[in-house]
Amino acid sequence: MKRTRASGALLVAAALLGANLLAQTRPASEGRLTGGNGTLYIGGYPNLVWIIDEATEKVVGTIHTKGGIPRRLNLTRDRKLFYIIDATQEVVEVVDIASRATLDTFKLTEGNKRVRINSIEPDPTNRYAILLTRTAVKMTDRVDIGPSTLLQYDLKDHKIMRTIDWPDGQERDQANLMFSPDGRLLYFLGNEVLIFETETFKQVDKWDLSNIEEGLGQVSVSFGGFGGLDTVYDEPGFLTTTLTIEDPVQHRRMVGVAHIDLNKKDLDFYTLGPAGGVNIVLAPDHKHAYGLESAVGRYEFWTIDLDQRKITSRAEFAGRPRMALKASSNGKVLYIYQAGHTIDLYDAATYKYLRTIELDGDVTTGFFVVPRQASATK
Amino acid sequence: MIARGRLLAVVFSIAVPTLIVAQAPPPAPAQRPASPPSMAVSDEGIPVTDPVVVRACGSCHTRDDKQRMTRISDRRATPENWELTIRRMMSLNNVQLTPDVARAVIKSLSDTHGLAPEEARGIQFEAERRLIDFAFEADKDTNTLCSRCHSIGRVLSERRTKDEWTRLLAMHRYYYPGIDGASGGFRRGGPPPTAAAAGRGRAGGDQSGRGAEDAQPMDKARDVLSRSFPLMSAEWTAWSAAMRTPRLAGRWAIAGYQIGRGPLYGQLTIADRAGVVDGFTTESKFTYSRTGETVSHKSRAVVYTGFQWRGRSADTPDDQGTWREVEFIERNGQQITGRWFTGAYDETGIDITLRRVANDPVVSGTDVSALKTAASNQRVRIYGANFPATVQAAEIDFGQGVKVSRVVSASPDTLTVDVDVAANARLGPRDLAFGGSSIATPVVVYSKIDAIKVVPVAGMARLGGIQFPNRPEQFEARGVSYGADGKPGTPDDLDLGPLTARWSLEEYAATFRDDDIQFVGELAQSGLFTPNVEGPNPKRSGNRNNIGDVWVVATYNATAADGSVKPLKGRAHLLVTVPLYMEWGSREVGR
Repeated sequence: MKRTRASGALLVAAALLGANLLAQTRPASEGRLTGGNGTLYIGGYPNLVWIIDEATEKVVGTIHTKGGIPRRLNLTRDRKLFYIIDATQEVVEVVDIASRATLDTFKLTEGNKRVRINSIEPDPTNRYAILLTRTAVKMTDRVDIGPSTLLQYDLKDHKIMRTIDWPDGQERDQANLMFSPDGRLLYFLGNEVLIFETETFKQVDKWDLSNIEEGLGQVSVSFGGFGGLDTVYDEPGFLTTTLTIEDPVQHRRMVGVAHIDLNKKDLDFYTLGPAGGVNIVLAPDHKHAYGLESAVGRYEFWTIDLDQRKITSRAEFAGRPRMALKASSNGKVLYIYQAGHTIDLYDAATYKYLRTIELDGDVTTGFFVVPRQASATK
Repeated sequence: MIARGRLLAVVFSIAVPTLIVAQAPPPAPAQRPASPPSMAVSDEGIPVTDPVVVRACGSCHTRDDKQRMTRISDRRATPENWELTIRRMMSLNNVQLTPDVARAVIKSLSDTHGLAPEEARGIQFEAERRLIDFAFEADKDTNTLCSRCHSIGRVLSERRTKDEWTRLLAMHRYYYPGIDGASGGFRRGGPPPTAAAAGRGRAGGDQSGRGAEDAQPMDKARDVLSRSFPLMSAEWTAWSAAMRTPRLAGRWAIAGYQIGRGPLYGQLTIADRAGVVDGFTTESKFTYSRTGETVSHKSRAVVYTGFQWRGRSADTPDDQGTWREVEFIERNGQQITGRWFTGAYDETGIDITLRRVANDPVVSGTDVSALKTAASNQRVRIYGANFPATVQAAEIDFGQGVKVSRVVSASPDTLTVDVDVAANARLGPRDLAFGGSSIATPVVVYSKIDAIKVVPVAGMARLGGIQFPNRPEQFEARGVSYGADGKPGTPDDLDLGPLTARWSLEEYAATFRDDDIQFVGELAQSGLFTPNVEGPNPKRSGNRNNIGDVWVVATYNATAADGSVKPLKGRAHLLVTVPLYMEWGSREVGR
């Protein structure tokens, strides 16, 4: 297997961040285990994003979206803005988190030409955004569906700056986008990672993750679905996510952890066990990850020691038929959300159910846990 | 896979208003920005010559110099599918049609752009609203792709050119933005895996890794459908030339069967319906042989494409006009088969066979379906029409080893006879012949009841009763003989017909700590399952609603040879699910 080539500097940074996190995780009230002092964001019906104080687990505010029901939240790297795509996938709304104000809305739909935005990623300076779109034109007796198109969009002038050519002329869709920390590269994240430079948006590299290592069958890497990519706990330029492979000889599907260094184009991965439907999320200390395995009527929490590369514990719990997992900002609480109006809290050490945060509407977006330290320092 | 009753798993759903628009204005063109230059109709496109259709559809669908209209000429479909299209045009494309015009358009298109009998026979279950397990075996990927959201029967009810199949897929992608992704599965995220990975992990890829297996799912489905269900076929070419106005007026003998109530027999008169093209009315009276209950029934119907009967019961004191009739008229015009059904989910149905009655006797069936060996004086009632007042026992033939010993009574539509079955009579089905008329396998000869089975083997009920109607499910226990070889599950096994059983529910543990049986509903001793109400149940963990799956168990006390009572058990699976929150049925074609 490939070895990690993370730099020493990054390890130091990770350690410092871990220390900072430990410092901030003193329980808000004695005797009561909480997830930390961060802020939770989740969008829902109708037309709002709830802001929840992690320490008190109370809704402390809402952002009312003007573009419609939020379907996808994109949190900028500086944690200051949300780029929200609505449920029709036609309207983008830019929201300032601090003031809870809508800064801008735009859409590309005109007349009978609907332009659906499947994915959005603003550049680090918020000067422009890259949009993954597809048009659907309704005519008198038919509709025409256009190709999947990657656009550079000027956020100030509200103009399409360019259409970015697909490598080999072969269109892609349903993928998430990410800029390198310095903004000089754009990553199109699928099993095949396309790398573009951001001056002229020419493809400069391609990284086929599905064919990553001799002897392995099809490799599949998860980069989040339409709910979007959450990189809050990842170091800049890195992604930690779930990977499945088909092993040699026996051709079993196995699940594991992928730690991806986009800058060095290096993938370190290792298997954990049979692929049964587990999703893995990173803990804020970067040393652990948590898994949520979901089969019909059987739900498990996993804790993974990333240094030892193994599952250190797993246990069944009373989950729900559709759910997703996030780790709290201090790593001590696990949040179970999705498909409903509740967020369930579990003790990450014992997997014991703690309590439930109730919202006054069903959730419709991904869920962001933003540590206070992160939002304060970036 | 269950062929109907499947929830649409889509991001957005179409609102389906009723087709009937009271006092609607004349057809008006939809207001929409100008289209790019009109596309061409295929060379094989079928001309549209009916001025009603041209007026109703012509504002959007242009006609070329060969009278071929865009989209319409490149498609054939069942009446139900044409109706769905008209509904969509009215609900989403701003088309306004009066009820009469809408019906005329559906009728016209079904006749000129319909399916041939050979094409429609295999998918009759779709229009008959039967809950059956059906899959498009020719291509399982296409079956899976389409039946994620709707019945595959709806797809098989279509014939289109390849371009037209492409446009159908485009329409799906327009209305359901999420269909490309995980919810619909139309497209995977990117290009196929590289050749090396494809070669290791999958079969079927060529050297470039872009073999047949690498096509996008929607493109593969388009190719399969355009090959399997092209616009033109030899069957349609032949039928469209031979099709004529059906001559159905006259008397017909009814033979029917309703699960839970047993066989029914009677007579039906069909009359031409003035002022309606291919329209008919019916009057019938039939009797459930098990209970003697007699039912009067009136209906009106339209025949589409020369063979597709679509009717609806007319209001009478016995019937509030809630029954629908979907039947297939055989090409010889002597027999009609199909289903009459009612209920919020069309769940209550009668399997119907109509045989034309002229001057000769017609045998429809019997009240019993099994005769025991080495038993005398077994009472059988034979139903039909034109029976003479005097009948000799020897004139009634049940085949080998079965002898009519006495004719108890005779009336024009019923013969009551006593039957002796020899001890050495061969086990198996028997035909019945009388007066030049015969019927296949109304009874079987058996020696003992070896087992029982419960039908339907897979049932479905839907919660309801508060905001939405429920869907009950009727079960029936039937006797089984293992036949001459005495072995279960072999071809000579015999279905002995319904028998009286005790009914109970058992948990079907589909998940750990399953507790469905406490919530799903009640099973009566008639075999009728009535589901619980819909909505979240605060008494259930997670505030879940009352869905679940259970076993439906029938127990029958058979008398053994030594006189002891030997319980026989059979069971069926019952899925209790949520109401259908929207309705997509085609209810207008029978008006």
